[in-house]
Amino acid sequence: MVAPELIKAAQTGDRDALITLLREIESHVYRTAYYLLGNQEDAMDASQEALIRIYTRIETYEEKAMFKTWVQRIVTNICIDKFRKTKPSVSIEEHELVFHASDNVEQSVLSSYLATDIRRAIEQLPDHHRTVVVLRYLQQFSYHEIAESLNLPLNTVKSYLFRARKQLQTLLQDYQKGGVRG
Amino acid sequence: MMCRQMEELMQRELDHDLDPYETELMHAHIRQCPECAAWRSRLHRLAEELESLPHVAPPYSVVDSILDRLPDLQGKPPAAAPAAVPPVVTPLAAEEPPAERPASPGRRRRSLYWTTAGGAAACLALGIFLFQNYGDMRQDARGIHEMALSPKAQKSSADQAGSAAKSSGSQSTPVDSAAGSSPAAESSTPGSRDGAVRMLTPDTPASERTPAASAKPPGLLPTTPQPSADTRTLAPSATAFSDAVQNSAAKSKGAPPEGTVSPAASAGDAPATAGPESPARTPGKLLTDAGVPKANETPQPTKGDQGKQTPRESVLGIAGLPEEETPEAGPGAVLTEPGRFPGIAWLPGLTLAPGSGLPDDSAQDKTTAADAAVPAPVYSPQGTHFASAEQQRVVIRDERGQLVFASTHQWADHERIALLGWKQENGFLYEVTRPDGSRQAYFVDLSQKREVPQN
Repeated sequence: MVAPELIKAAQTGDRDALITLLREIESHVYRTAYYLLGNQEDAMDASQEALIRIYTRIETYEEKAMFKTWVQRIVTNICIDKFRKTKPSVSIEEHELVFHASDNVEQSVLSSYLATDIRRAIEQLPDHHRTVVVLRYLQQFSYHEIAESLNLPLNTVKSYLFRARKQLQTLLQDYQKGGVRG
Repeated sequence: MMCRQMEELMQRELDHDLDPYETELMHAHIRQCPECAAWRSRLHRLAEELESLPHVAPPYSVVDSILDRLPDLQGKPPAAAPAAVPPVVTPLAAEEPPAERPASPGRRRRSLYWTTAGGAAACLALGIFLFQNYGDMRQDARGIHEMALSPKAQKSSADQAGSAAKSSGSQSTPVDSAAGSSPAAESSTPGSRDGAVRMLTPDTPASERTPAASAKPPGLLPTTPQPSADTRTLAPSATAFSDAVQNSAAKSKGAPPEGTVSPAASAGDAPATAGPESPARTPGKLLTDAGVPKANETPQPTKGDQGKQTPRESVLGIAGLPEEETPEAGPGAVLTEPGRFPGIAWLPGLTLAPGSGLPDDSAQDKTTAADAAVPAPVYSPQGTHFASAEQQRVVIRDERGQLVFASTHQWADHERIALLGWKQENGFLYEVTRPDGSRQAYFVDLSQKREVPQN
């Protein structure tokens, strides 16, 4: 939580305050970038770009939005631009996965997922689904905060999040069974 | 249909979005529907896993990496130093503003250039000073020569010099020995190629030197304890300069020419010492008054002097390190016995004496390390890389500031990192000191991008 006084000082042109502010948010920015882009190098590039953008546009921030959602909007936009440039576009509908009850429910419930599988499954999600999941679980944002960050209607955020969970369930079950990946 | 509705409730339950009525409704359903109960269990499992995803941190400070790319805010004062800069993130020397430290190896290099340029300017100023006093010195030498030729004058000169030596006390010691210019004294001065030392070391032919003078200790090389890493390197040069300037100043004021009229010289060997002047002398050799220096006059150190003298003593800043120091010393020596080297924050360019580490300096090293909690960045011998400590990690960047390596482990705040040195361009040694005093050295192999414990 960045202190409002620090934000105001940064907005008035206090470069020290602005750099201090950047230091406070850099780990949050990097975390989002890392889980959205999937690797350290791209995450560092995106984080640098995001912090520079925040530095140069701090005066445009208005208090009616939460500062953290303003920051996350910047970094997610940069990341979405990045992976749109590097990956073929896949529509959400194409990626829609329908939940099927597992044949062996007990086994799926009892076994825990591997962290690497979870990360890989997140990378398989469509861009917006992945972004919603990252903001929800890596930034602990509420529906409302996610909606504000992504400039999406609240119900759309819920829809993306619910679908993303379903898709993750399916992907992880596939991984556990050694099934289709990617 | 009911299960579909419950599915949404179960999803919202994960986000703490249910009111009490909805919660009760959902629980009532899953008590009757095993499939929805299983589905809910899997959802909870997934949510737990997602919530426990590691909160990754950048390998090095993102802000530090962009500081030099941040434009100054229009119409606003530039940053002096960020208020909340973690000290471990900015491991540069104190003279640089922390906000501008890490991102600019070029800036550091410029600082180094300025330091070097400053030293060169000081040397130039001293050279000009000496050149301006050249006439006085020549007159002094001529006076000595005349005194030597005249027994009367020689005698009075001896009295005068003797009293001068008594009154000057210990300060006259280097001067005396320089005037005596024993082979040992000269030979124990590898840095005597530079003007400052030469000023105090007349190149009297060996055959004409007095036994008394030869027996004197090498006054130019004081064997006083070496105070600290910095002063240890610079003190001899400072002493030589100080003496040189004092001598010249004294002469210009008409004071007795201590530098040339030593008791030994005046006791009968003055004619040889103050030989005929060479008109071809250059300012840099202005005190080689015995004549044109011979190429083979370069003295060889005696065994006894070798033992006392360290290469550091010859470092004068003007002429730089003697060439023979460079290939022998260096980080290669560090790597052979890493355990021997305590946590020293190495200065750029500081090299080890061959095979010796920093002997006899353990107490001073502790002081140095304690003072330098944040190690300064250390450049590789060719300057292609530099190592620094950022956020309690050892980070190596190339000359453009691009990250080449970052240690996988982030050391705790109470653990101190000492950057020990480079092995050529692709090997770096550092050491971590824990609060209990235990130390662990690590060797970073840049060619393989990995680090290996050394103990």
